Amino acid sequence: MAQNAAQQEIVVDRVGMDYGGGSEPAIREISLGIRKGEFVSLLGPSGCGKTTLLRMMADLLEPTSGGVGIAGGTPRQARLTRKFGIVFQTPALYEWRTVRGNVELPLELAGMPRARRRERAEELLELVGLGAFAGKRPRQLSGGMQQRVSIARALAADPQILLMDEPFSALDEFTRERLGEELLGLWSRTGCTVVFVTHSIAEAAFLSDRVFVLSARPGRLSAEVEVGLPRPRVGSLRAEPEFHRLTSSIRQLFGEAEP
Amino acid sequence: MRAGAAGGWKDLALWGAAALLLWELGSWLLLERLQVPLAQSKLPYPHRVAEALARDGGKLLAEAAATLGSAAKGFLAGALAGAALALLMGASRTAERIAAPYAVASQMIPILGLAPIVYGIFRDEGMARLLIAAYIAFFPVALQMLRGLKSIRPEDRELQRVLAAGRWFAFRTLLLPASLPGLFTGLKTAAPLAVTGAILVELMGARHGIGVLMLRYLYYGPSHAYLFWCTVLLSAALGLLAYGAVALLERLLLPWQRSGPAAAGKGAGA
Ligand SMILES: Nc1ncnc2c1ncn2[C@@H]1O[C@H](COP(=O)(O)OP(=O)(O)OP(=O)(O)O)[C@@H](O)[C@H]1O
Ligand SMILES: [Mg+2]
Repeated sequence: MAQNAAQQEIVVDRVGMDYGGGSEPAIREISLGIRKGEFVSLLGPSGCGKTTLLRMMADLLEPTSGGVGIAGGTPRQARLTRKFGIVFQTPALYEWRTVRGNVELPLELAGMPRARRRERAEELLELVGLGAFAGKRPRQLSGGMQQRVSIARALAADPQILLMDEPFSALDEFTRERLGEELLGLWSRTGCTVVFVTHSIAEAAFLSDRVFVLSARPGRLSAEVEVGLPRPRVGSLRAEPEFHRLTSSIRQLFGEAEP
Repeated sequence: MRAGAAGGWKDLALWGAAALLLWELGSWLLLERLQVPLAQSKLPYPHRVAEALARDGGKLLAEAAATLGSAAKGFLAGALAGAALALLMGASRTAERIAAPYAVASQMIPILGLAPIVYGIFRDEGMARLLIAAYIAFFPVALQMLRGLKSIRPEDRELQRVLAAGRWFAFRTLLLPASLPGLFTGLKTAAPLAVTGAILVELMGARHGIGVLMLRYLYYGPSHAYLFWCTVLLSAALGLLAYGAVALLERLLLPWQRSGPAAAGKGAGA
């Protein structure tokens, strides 16, 4: 795979973020590139700046130094042309809308006619395994189901990039692993680029093509791990020795990164 | 849920019957046993009050309707103004900084003092009742609705930003619906108060309204004790009616409020 600039979907160039307040900057000089169609993870302990970095890509935050390029333009351009979808740590569903209504939200903005919108929303809910819940209210769903709705919503307008901030961190281990596998299925069908924030080594290793390892105080890129595991990946991979070798080598990186 | 509501009504009927019985008993005690002077003015027999109501009910209801009519109009006007201010303050921090102190200060003026002033200015009972009811409705609605707007989760707002939504879209799909529960909390607080406010104005001197009758029967003394009690009970009923109407509207307009765990604490039968 050639790594020329044209294939870079997201470029983070010597980005720094100082929230002010006199303490150390949250992020210092992070540079990385993410290729089109790639699934990457931002992995690191709490407070190392994962959310900060993701929010810069999403144009929810301006870096105090350096710059971010996304989908061939600035984050602002990408946002205004709706190039990316986002999944927050909490599902952030509107409780006054039905599950279907929530998924329809981006389609409404895109000006899609009502009937097509409905059809498309139901198709997406089918895709995340919630076809039977279209008419329910978000509160009537479990946390894992709500997060699936929020993924369906992020995918609704067919974004070329999906930004996810610890989407499964509030869920139990079983649900979390199952949703991870579902996410890989969705990703291979849509072909979008995924940036996945997590603090779980196993989750990052299982899902990603590449893992960016961040260290805290100040947040820096401490390593970049190419995950060579073959695809498609299924649950049983987690029991393979090569998977264990990979996760423990990543764990060792943290040992080095921590002062 | 339906079974729970039916149980609620049954409980209510039971308690009501028990209260009536106690009342009848207490009234009998005062009049026959303790022989308290003016016993029937202090606690009249409920069946005599009911008789009076049956006899003069038409007239009483007509006056009550006049009260409710102007209270409702004022309530609506006040609620609209309160809602508009809340939305304005929710949309603009500057507007909030400017308006909030005055909104709070307005609550420092006692209605008992304000009513005669308003009546003195307008010299029109309908207008005075309307203004007082509006004044009472305004604050709780503005306050509760603004509270709803302020409690919107940051990620709910960020979603609008990520979707590159316009102001009108965000208003329609986020701000307005998020403010509705607060609006109804405010309306439910204000509805009975608006009725009380209208009655207060009537006590200051008016020609129509349940408050006028209340004052008149009070002056007439013991001979009109039953009728006086009728007016008091009717006033309470008006307040209840106002509350119930708003609560019903809330159930119809905010169906999402009833589904799921957050609504569980509300119903007695839940
Ligand atoms: N709005 C803010 N104002 C000031 N400091 C902030 C703000 N947001 C984050 N920080 C600081 O920046 C650093 C990185 O925060 P960030 O939320 O990006 O971490 P994270 O890697 O996402 O952590 P977690 O895994 O706990 O979500 C932290 O030290 C945090 O205290
Ligand atoms: Mg975070």
